[in-house]
Amino acid sequence: MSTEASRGSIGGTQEHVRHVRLPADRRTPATARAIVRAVLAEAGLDELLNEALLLTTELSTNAVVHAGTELDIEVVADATGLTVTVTDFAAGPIENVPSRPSSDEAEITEVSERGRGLLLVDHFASRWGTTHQPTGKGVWFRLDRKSAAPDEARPERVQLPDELAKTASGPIPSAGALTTLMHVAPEPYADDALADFAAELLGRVADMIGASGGIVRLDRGDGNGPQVLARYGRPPRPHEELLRVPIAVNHPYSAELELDAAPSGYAEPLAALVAERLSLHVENDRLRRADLRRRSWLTFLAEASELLAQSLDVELTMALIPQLVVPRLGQWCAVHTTDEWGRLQLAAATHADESALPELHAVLKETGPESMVARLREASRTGTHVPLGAPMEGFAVPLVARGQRLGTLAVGRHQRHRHDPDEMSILEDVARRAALAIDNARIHDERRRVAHTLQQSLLPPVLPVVEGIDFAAEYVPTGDAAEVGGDFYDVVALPDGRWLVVVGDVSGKGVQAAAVTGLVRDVIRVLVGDGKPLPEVLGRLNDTLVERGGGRYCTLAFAAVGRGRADRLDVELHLAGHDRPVLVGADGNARFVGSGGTALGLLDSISSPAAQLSLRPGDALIFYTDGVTERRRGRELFGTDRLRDAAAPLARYSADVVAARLRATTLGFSPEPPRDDIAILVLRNDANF
Amino acid sequence: MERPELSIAIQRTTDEAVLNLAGEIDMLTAARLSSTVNEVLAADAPPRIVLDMSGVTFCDSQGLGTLVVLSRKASHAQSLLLLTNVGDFLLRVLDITGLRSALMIRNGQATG
Repeated sequence: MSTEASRGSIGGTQEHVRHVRLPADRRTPATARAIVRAVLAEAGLDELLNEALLLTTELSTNAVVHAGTELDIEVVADATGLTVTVTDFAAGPIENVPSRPSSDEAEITEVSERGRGLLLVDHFASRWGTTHQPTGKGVWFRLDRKSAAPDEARPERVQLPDELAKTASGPIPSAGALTTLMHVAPEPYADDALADFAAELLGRVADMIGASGGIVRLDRGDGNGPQVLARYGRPPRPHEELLRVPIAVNHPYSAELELDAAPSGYAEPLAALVAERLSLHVENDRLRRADLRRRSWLTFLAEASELLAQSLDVELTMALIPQLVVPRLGQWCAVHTTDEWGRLQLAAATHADESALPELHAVLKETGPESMVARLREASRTGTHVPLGAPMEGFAVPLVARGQRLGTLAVGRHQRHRHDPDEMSILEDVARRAALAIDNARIHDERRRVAHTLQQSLLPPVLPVVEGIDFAAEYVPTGDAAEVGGDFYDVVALPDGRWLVVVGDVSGKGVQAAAVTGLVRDVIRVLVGDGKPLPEVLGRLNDTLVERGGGRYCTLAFAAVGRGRADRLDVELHLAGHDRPVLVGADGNARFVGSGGTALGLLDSISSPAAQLSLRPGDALIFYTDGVTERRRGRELFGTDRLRDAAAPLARYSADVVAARLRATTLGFSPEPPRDDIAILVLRNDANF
Repeated sequence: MERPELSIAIQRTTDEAVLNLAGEIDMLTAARLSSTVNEVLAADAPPRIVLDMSGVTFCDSQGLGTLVVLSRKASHAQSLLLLTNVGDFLLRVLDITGLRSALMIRNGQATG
């Protein structure tokens, strides 16, 4: 045991001080009492004896029992009263410190023998509090001389102004303590640096001005109300004077420092100093969070835009929007679209709480002047956002794209708070993007329908049935259903009784290519109907394309087929830049026939050499477009040789089998969807076979 | 610091045991008080056990808790634990802690 005793003189009053270190022993409380007894006798404060002995015993007993370490007892007495501090050397929080059991809690049979200690300290002490040091923690109490208050009750500071002046002025802050107060700084890498910093600062200032408790409250304006950022000591008693200092921060934050001490002496300026230090760091926190929020909103918008942009399906886009919005931007979301008569139709709705979905649907079904639907119509009509009332609170944003009203986006408020201005503008942004996505998907849908209709109109619906000639065709449009390819085929009756087989490919894709395809087909039909010879038809067609084709050109396989002698089919074949057809003999021999001429639409004059073929019964002539030969597998092309080799084994099969097999072989060549149209036309001499 | 921590003198009659307590009751001495009363109860519990507190100069919350526990033990043993000559300050502490109602206190009465 070590003992120091000293007498000092501060501010003219004599101080009696004892500082003793005692072991963790059951005799220690008695020893502590003896020390306090001695100091009180020296200072002439015998009137405080009962309370001082009791409280000293309670604190030292707690230290022995709970901390189990050695303890330091510091006893300081002056003319006005006594302060005793009991410090232990155990790390960790002080147990039971904030306990202030209410009277009804004192169910005697259940209360342990311990635990009343701090209740007694709280009752008898003029002030008390805790100190935290790196080595351990301490509890102190102050007993003021009662001379001014003969009443035995605990002096009520508020009622005793004289007493107040003496007690509340507290100890004079030392330069060292002040320096620490200024040098406390947040840990840059701590998880919750602001809270730690606030707790440290609060603890220090409370120690310095002798406050028995304190709170820093922070309202981040996020709808959660004021939250305790840091707490120290015990909660304030009701009706007691508190020192409150607002912490200056910008909207929507608000914060306050509250200390359980009278606002006098050094307390007020010190509290103001701490509030000022806190305000800097709280403001910093506000800016950092606002920045993070903005950044996360930007990411959200970017992701939403990407998702929406990828979706070219109207239904899918509608279903996607509520998934993007809930729960991030609201509790629920409903998307309505405007139909062709301008009525709003529910397209998709979702609620963060699955069980609330039926209620949402019920509210959306209501009609009447005050109904949700009426509000949505208002939003759509006025083109501005409209608040929605209970029971499904929120607001509605119109969906407008390219000046067209597409519908509305209704979003429910968050569970705990309303939408803040940031969120409102994010929602409007989402609505704009969603509207564009819906519009894009609609346009895409329309285009796909046009493409399909065009394509269908360009193909001959049914091939003619001709005695002795077996026709069959296969056509596979490109993988992208919205694109019209330039491939076409046709079988036309010639005035001389022969049949004209046309397989062609107009350069390029899309609507212009389709228009040229239509032109080519119609010009051929008109010219051959007049009985023009084939080379002249090709020449006239070339002239037309050079004039009217808009820079597009066309390759054609052109074959007039007629019955020849002895069951043979005579074929007059012209190729205008087109791939040579494959002739598959009934004997299984496959070869390319014809010779290439000039593609149409490129040059003013063309050459179109004619090849005369004679098909024996069972021979088949296979026409195709470059969608077949240029079908890709990685860098490899299907090619003409592969086609010829695939065709040879098909000898003697009927035309539709040959066409179907070749189509399957071509498609099976690569897992990718075709990039170009695939057209295959087969004609076969069916005579007596 | 040398002084009697707690002395306990027992006077027994047929219907009561009077324990004259002198000194301080705290974490050091409460156990001894507890075991003494337990012995009295165990031997042949008298209808009444009187704790004369006139010599008690100090009693902390742990001491009070011990008294409450003893009072309950006594009533389990069909006996009554009675406190006499309880000091004013101790009465206040009993009020504050709400323990007064859990103890039988007869002050200013001659109890033989």
